Amino acid sequence: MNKTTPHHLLTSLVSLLLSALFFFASPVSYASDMTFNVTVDKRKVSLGSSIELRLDFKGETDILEPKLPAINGFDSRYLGPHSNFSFLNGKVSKSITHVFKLLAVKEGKFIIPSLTVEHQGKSYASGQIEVEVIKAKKYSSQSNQDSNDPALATLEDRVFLRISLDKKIAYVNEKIPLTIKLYVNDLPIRYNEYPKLENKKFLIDEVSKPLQYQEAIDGVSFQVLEFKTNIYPLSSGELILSGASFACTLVIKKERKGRFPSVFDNFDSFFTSYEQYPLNLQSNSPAILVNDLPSDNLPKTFTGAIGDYAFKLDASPKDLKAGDPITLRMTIEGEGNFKTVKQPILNLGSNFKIYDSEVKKEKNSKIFERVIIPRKETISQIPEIEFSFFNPDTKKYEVIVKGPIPIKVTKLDTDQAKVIEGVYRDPSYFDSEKIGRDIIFIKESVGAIKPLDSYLYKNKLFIFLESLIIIILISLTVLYQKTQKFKTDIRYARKLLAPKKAKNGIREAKVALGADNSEEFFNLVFKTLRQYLGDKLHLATAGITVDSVVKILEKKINNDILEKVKKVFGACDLARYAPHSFAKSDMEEVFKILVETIDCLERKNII
Amino acid sequence: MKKIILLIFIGLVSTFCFAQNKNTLESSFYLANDFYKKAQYSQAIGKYEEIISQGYASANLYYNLGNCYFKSDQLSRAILNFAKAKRLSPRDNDLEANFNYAKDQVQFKVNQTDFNTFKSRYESIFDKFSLDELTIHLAVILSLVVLLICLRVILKSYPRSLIIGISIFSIIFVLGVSGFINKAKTIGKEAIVLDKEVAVTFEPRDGSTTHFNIYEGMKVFLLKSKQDWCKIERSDKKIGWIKKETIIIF
Repeated sequence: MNKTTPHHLLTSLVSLLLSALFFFASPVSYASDMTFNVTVDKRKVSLGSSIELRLDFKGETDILEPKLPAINGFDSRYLGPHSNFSFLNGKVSKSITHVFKLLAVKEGKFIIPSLTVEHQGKSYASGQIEVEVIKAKKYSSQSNQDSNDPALATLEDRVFLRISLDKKIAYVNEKIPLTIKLYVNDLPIRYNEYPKLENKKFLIDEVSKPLQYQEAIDGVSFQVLEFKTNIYPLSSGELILSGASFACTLVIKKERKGRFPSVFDNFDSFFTSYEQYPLNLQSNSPAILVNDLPSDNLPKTFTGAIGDYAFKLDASPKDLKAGDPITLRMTIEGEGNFKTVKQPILNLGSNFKIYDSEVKKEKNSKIFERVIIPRKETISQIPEIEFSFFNPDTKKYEVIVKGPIPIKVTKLDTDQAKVIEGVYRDPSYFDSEKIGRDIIFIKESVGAIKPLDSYLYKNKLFIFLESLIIIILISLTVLYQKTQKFKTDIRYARKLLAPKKAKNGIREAKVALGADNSEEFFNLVFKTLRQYLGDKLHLATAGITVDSVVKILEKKINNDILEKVKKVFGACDLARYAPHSFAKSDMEEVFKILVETIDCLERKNII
Repeated sequence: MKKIILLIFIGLVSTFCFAQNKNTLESSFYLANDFYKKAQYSQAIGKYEEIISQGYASANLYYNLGNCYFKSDQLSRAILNFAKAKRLSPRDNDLEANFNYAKDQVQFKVNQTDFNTFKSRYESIFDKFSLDELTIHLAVILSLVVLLICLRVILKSYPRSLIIGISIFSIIFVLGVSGFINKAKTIGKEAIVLDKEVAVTFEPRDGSTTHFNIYEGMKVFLLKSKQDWCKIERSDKKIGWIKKETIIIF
């Protein structure tokens, strides 16, 4: 084992430093020239499968996604960029590859044209690439068998959508059956939703569940998904039914890139991955000539019903007492646009009281049920009821008259209660049906009328009153609090009353000053100041001395005021022994100082 | 003092004028009702609109006007007036029935997915009250909260329920104010579609790509106005631009 000597360590360190210096000092040679290459992952592809087109830019990484031109025979999709940056032997190399997926949609030999890219004022062009698209393999269980079907060259030939109408000429609102067929020739297609039909000129029913069967077109076998619906033209003229759209997914088996067969080939279903390619199929747009209904021989009772219908009328019970309800059932059944079928008009006169109708819609019938009540016992029949419609097959208006229905109404026993309110229901038949609807009658009174856009929250009087309530509540609370404190807190009460007492003392002192009564004056001045300071400082008034007050006030008030306090007390003290030694001007001076001192202490709220 | 007397006098005069005016408005209302009963809907509409043009309205007036428009096959205006009536009288059953019936006539229904969210349930509580009712309720709650706080301050020994009461009423008040503000914000921001079908575009310019469609009588929410264009939101939260003349804002 070699020992590491200090000399050896120093040599190593120096050589390391020199190497680092050389490394950073040497000029880094960047690949200044950019090269552009276009490659594909395979030159031969089956119809419906895809290849990868790679646009390689060496020497640059900031190349944005180039716009690919339309390539004959292929449908392109951008997959994304892949950038590379490496540092090797002092050389920096960088590159970016933009990858596109090309789906083969036609059979034959196609050229991917030369692509040109502009970068930093320079133009770079790639070479052309030839790709052969061969007939697709079958994905069905018979994939190993040779097909006798003629070759289909494009994807559009192998999967397409067709719509067909049962009629080319129709009337406004007539029911026209429509069939949408999806044809697929040996391609794995998945779908999650039904075809969509949108057209403002037609009312369109919901698309039914599809039927699946095989159909041959020109000798080619197709799997067919058949959807059915009905359309109703809303206006007359030559109308074009804009085509149906159908979003589905083409599932493509991802081919292995390895040349040799894999041991996993036998586990194909487990290891094989599939790619999904979304397809949005559009159908043809058939035209239809729509005529208005003829105006000749228009029945009076025609309300717009169009189709081929039968009309049934039934009433129950037929033997009843006056005031009892009769359920009148009008059934219209047949083929046609039931949205146009309205309730037959009832002309029952004033003999019957009529209630709202109930409507029940079934697949090929519509039932209107009305409750009517005979008003008199003399009524012997329900008058005839007429239903008219336009039959597009015969191209004529047809009128069906049913009734009259004989009924027997007997007089109501006087002791029987005659209370019938609301709509009578036969629970056995219409229990789950919807009630017939119309708007409820107008209001008889104008109600609370008020100026437009006048809201209470904008009303100043309301805001004022609400604020007043709150202010009163808060004021009362504060007042109550203060009163309570005044009653219970002597210190607070004395402090609160101090200015008032001082004011009274000053007033009395002023009177004594006016009377030139120096003894009384100084007595009042002393008492006032002592009382004021005693109350403010919560001290026993009788025990207040100049020294005790000054000691407390020293910390709270400034010297000027303190001097004034001392001066007043000093004057009072002197006057006690020689009351007549003070002239009136001196008394006025003392009075002035007293007023100033109390005023200053009160205004500044010092104590 | 003079000012107070003057204010009282002005108040009395305006009350008297309003009472006089109310009589005139009521007679117009009854006349319009008679037209309706005779199925003369356009005359009835004229009379009802005349009252509104004088600057007065009531829930019943909007309701009757909505009925007239409905009978005259003017679905959008019917829905508009029912919606206005609902703002003033949100718990009127007759109005609710007619409004729902009119809305059912709208050609296209938008799927609303937020029926059961807390927000929609919370907002639906406020749908049951008019703005004036909410104002009064909130004023009472506020006064109650202040009163309870005052009691709390005054009482030396207060029950625990007082604190709970203050907390509950304060929360109700805050939530109520929030709901009230949301409701007040809708005034002048809701609109009814006038045309049979209107294409709502991505951008406020002619020829812009259609985003979705709205249909006659459909209610939309106005987000922004820009010259002749309005940015609207459909009930399924889809947003786009339409021309102002295709809607009535209320």
